[in-house]
Amino acid sequence: MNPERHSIITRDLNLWYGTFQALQNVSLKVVDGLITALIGPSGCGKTTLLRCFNRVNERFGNVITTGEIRILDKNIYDADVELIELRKSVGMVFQRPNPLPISVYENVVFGLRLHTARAQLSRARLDEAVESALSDVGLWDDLKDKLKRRATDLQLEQQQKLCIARLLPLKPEIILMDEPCSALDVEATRQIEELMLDLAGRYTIVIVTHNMAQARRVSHECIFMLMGELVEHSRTEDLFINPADRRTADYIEGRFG
Amino acid sequence: MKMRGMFHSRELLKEWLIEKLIWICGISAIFFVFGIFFFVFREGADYLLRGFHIREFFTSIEWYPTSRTQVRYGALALITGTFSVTLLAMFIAVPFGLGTAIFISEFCSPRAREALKIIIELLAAIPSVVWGFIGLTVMNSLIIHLFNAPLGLNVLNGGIILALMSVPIIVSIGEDALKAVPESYREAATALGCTRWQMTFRVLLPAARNGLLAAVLLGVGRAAGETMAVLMATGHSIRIPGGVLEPVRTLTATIAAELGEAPVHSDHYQVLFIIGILLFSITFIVNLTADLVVRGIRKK
Repeated sequence: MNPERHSIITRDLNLWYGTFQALQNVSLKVVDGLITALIGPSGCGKTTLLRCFNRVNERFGNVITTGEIRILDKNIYDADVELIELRKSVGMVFQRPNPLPISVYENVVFGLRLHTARAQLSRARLDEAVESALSDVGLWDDLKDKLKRRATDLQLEQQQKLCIARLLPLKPEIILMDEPCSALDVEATRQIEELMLDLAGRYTIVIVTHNMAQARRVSHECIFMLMGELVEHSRTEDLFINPADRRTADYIEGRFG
Repeated sequence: MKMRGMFHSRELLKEWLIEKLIWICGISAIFFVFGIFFFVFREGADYLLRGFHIREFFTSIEWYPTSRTQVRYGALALITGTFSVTLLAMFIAVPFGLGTAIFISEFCSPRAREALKIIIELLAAIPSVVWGFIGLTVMNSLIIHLFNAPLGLNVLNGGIILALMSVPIIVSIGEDALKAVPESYREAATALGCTRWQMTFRVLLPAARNGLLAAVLLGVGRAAGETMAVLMATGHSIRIPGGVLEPVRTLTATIAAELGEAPVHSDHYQVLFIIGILLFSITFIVNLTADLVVRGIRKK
């Protein structure tokens, strides 16, 4: 990891849902290879911001964005940006595990099948991608004999790991996680957090969480947002021990939110 | 205190009455289905058990119910008629109906969607005799003109009319099935870089498989059971068709055309009811198969 390098840079990012302004002049730099947590009370815009990074929030029409988001040194709002390429390099994990209703195997190679010509997809290449992705998330030993099972029948925590695994064959640079543990129990949460720390370095991870303890446990840097504005962005220890802004201090001490 | 007690018991009585009423509504469907089956079976049972030639019925094309010298009840041509028209109708209606369902649920703007849904519902509301009328006039001359056929009332005509009649069912059930695919699947696929086509073919169709199958089978049921429109559009000629430009007669049309003239409880009358039993069994099997297939998939 290179602290000088930034995977995501936003400048004066504004976003409106219809007439409601959800993001106000957000400027930030996400350091390459680290885990950055987005925290703040409900409705502060953290999920909206996360969904800007792969432009999935545009699915619901009625969204207006101004400003700039540079990912890997390219403004993702430029006309010549290919959404598909963007989404290949910026993967996303959702709040509720959402594997597709097909087999474990097909879930993992789903992205490869989408983005690779059929002629280049040999059985061996697919098999290798499945083994390597499932090994990376620690599922290979559990599932190597159950690759044909429907992914939606797995335990929730396995489903969520699978949702991470299916991003890996596309070799993303960035993985976005939108409260990835909110549907999971304590033990599963621990496992996902361990997995995140394991993947950090190889991937830049941005995680939205409303669980401050989790932000503290897993993130290297932390961003506190309030009412669509970025209030504070610093190293996680600094933000929790020595917040610069009064509002951050009030929030982490639980005075509101 | 007493007042309140009275009020209370009246409320309870009301609850009890409503509950019973709803219960009767609920089980009435079972009652009606068995009632209809029983009635149709009773009307045909006597002949079915007495002198019915089951082999002749299924293998002979000679349908001469009113012959003076030798009465023959061979229904093979009628069965073939029903199957050929239904098959052609499904050949047209399934791709067309599923395509429309996909378009409405995934590709069109909200405003166009509302407009299309209203128009398709309108299509479903057209009485079948009006469809038959269109077959008899518009389609008839169109087919004569286009294919240089001697007659426009044939399998093609009936198939197209039936297709148009089953499309609204396939569209509305199919669209419901696609709409029922959880938003989270679409979200997952979008975030993985799916285009809309890829999403449709790789995510939505597999996920909505059961519902789409149900849509198709309901379309089949509609087509196989339709009477008036096919009676008017197919030419009403008893024979095994050699091509789509030949006229046929279906099982349903035969019942509709002949029942009024067959003396009650005569052999002819009873054979028509046996055809009714056959139709009933066909739809029963189609529905049962659909149900079992859907359950089978669900269990997996």
